[in-house]
Amino acid sequence: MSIKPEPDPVKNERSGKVREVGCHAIWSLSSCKPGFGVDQLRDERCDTYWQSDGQLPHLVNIQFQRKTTVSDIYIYTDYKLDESYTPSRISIRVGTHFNDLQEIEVIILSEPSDGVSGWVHIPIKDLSEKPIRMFMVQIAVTSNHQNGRDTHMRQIKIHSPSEENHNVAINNFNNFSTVDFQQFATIR
Amino acid sequence: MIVQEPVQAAIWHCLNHYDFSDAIFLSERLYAEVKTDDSLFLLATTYYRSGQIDHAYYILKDKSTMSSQCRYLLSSCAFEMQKYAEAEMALTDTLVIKSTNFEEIIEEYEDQASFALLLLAKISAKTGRRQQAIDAYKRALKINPFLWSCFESMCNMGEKPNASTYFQLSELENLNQCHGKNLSNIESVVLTCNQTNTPIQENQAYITTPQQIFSNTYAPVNNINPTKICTPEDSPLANPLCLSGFSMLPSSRIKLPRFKMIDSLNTTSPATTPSFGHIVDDFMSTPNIHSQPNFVEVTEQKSFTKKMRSHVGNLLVRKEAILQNSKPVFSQTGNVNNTIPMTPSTPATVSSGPNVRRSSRLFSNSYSVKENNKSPNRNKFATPKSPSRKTKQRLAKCSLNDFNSYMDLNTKNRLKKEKSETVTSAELKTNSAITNLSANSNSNATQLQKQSAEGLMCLLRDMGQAYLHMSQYNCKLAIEELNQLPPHQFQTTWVYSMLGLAYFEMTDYENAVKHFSEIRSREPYRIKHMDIYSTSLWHLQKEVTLSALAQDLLQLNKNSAVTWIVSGNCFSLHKEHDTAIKFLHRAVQVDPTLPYAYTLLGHEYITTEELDKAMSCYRNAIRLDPRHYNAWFGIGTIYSKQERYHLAEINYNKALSINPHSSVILCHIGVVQHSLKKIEKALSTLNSAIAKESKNPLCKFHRASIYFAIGGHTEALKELEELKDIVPKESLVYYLTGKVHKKLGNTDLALMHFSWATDLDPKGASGQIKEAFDPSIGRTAADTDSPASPPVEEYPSEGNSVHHDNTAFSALQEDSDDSL
Repeated sequence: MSIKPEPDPVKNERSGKVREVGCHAIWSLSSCKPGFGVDQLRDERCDTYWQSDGQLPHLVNIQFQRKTTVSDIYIYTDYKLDESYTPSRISIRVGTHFNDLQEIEVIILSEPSDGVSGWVHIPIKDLSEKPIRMFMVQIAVTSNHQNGRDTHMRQIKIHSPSEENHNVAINNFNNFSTVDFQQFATIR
Repeated sequence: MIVQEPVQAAIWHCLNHYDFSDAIFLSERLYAEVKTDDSLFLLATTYYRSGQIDHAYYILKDKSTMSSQCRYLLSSCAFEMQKYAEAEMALTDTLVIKSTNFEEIIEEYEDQASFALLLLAKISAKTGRRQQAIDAYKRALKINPFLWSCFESMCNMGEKPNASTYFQLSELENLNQCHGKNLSNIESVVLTCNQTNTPIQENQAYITTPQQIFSNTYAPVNNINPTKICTPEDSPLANPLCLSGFSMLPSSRIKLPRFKMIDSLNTTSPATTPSFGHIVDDFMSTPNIHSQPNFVEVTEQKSFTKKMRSHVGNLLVRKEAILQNSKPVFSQTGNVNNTIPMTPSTPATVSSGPNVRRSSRLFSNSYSVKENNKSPNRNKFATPKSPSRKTKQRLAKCSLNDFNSYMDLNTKNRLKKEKSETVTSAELKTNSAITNLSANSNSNATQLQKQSAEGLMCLLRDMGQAYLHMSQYNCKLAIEELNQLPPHQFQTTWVYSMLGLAYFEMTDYENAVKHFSEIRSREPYRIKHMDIYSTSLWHLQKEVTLSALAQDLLQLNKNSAVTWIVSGNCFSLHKEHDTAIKFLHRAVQVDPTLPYAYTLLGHEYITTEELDKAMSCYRNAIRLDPRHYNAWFGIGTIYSKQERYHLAEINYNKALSINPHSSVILCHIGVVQHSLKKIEKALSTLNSAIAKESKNPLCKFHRASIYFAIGGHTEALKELEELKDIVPKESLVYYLTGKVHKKLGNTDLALMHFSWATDLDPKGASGQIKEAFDPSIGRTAADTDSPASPPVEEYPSEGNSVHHDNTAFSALQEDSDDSL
């Protein structure tokens, strides 16, 4: 059994190729317990979590002000701590608004083995393997482990590729591989 | 005997020794007791100096009639509190000043006029009246050529003042505007009268106790030093003494000159005679001090000078050899002399009513030196200067005596900010009458002073010229000018900063970093210009150095905008743009008037694609400084990202108009013109860019890509070949070469280059460039890549070529899929 390297969203952010765009979006939840809401989901801490408080499916709605290209979604869950609250089946839907969502991805999480960091990487691509442009993405938890009713989610990150528009002239200057070239690329 | 008002004197004493709490307390009591203009001024000054500027403002605000010094202080406070209209009202009694009113200001403020004009200029600059500001700066500089900040501000506003015209002392009749009336802690020379004993004793009555005059702080160093040093104590008492006629210190009370020599007495290096900071008295010939047997040092001086004369030959020869055109101006700022030219009649009245006169002066001229000493501390410059301009005539004028004593002593006074200078005793050969004496010596004294300061003026002229070049971005000229400065002045932080700045603007970041790191090693606590250093490091992608710099500065001073700018740059280099934005916001908070913080914030917002916020940041930067070309460039970048190329070109051109020597701006303009399909213009722009700065490989690269776009494959290949030599490791060069070959049909060469490109950059910094080997053979002219925008392709990463095979075709076809 090959051991895949742990998904590490932070490393990718640091590489400069992707940006975390969750901060440009409006987040809403289908339900939450007081004190366990959006802030805990977006606080960069894996020890605080969102706890839902309603009927399945539990939804996290992320609405962007602009049509944004999304390349990856990372979700942090921790089976050891959450057990029955850990989602087991996650559906990703994208679209323009609530009534225009289309499911593009379904992720089944089997019991993550112990010691796992808990990041689940969901690549977002269309049929041609390109990141999808969208106004809204909805993360739906359709079932939990051990048939739990409510769910815990500790962190969510949305990544967008840095190189948006490849026809723009300015992009000629961003991508040199050597410092010798790059230092002349722009006035800072 | 002079009696001065003790309470005021005590308060000034506290102020001069930075004991602000006592000064405040005492001045409050004084003001409660005696509500005069002077005591009000004293109270306000104590608040101002202790940092409570708003308090000073409020107590001065509502008083109806105030003396000019109070009005000036009120105006200063209002300016600091950003109440510009009130500042102007206070200064000039009218709401809007016109340039013609400058003469009124000069009349009213007398000695303070240069500062009043400077303040007026600053107010005008802040309130958007550029021409008036410049006029005021010019006028202030004319009156007081020591005010470097006037020249600097004019350069920063885009004016091109001529350094040689402004830094001149010859126009001035006297140096009153330059150094004010009250002086303390400044070396001065007592021009002694060659009188008999009787006059001396007579005049003793008019002299304050020399204890108050001679400073006690200097340890005696050398009994053979012939000179009398007069260092007035820091109290207004100095003034009356000086006014008494600049001489006649009773010998019995004169302490021997005490000097603190900086280095050991025996080191001599002829090359380091200071050109200013010392007063040399031109009138001294061989010492004729025999006539004043009272002066103990006289005899010693004689012997000393005899000794020194024996060394003359050597030193003189050496000095002349080394400093061909050195200025022999060993000058010392003369306190004494300022009073001499003031009123030639005062000595005459000395005998008549000393008490009356002095006391009135005490109460009216209770300035402490600090306020007047806005000119650079001349006595700090105890370093030699060897400009290539001054002629040898001056050298000849100086008597050997001065020369030698200075040779010896000056060497110790290098670069240290001690006030100990030796002064060759001044022997003024005048007529016996005091009045004649004063009349002659007025002009003599001014001459003396002017000569003393001429060294500084010369330095300022050179530095001013260099600064002017910098502000016009003629960096090469600036560097040349700066390199011509004398070695001791050259090795100061200011000069290194200017050099670093010049190299930075020339995009020679390696040299800039070299100079800035030199500064860091000499003065690790220096914060100014560290933001430019951090940007240079950002360009060179030196993460470790930049992080270290950020750490150091954070520990040093969290209240400085520069610290936060450096931290912002550091995180930006690490691609953590949100944190960088956070820190840059802090920089803006700490100092809302620093344009560079806004500019960097704008750059960061562009990286995070928040273009509207970026635009507002750049506009803020331009509001603060219309000549901040980085911000104009940033706006151009925004428009370029939005593909509004006309607007981009306009803004880039605006940036270029401010800094015409920048090859980077020209390169961007070239690319934009290419996008606008103005091929000819684009090529000519890039040609001029290459001509300006041959080291910029990007210009060649873009020229090559333009050639490729218009079909000039051979030219493109030629350029790319050259580039391969210049920067052998740049993957995009190979990638472009590969594309050219592919277009030409040389598939094998194309593949070779593509594989080189991939080797050099497996991850494909230019996005994932997918170029499968097999499909490229069967490729038709269907690939519509324009070289201006590398298509979205992926490099075949090591193990993935198979996986990408199938999707190669579809990917290559979807170039313009993702446009906005």
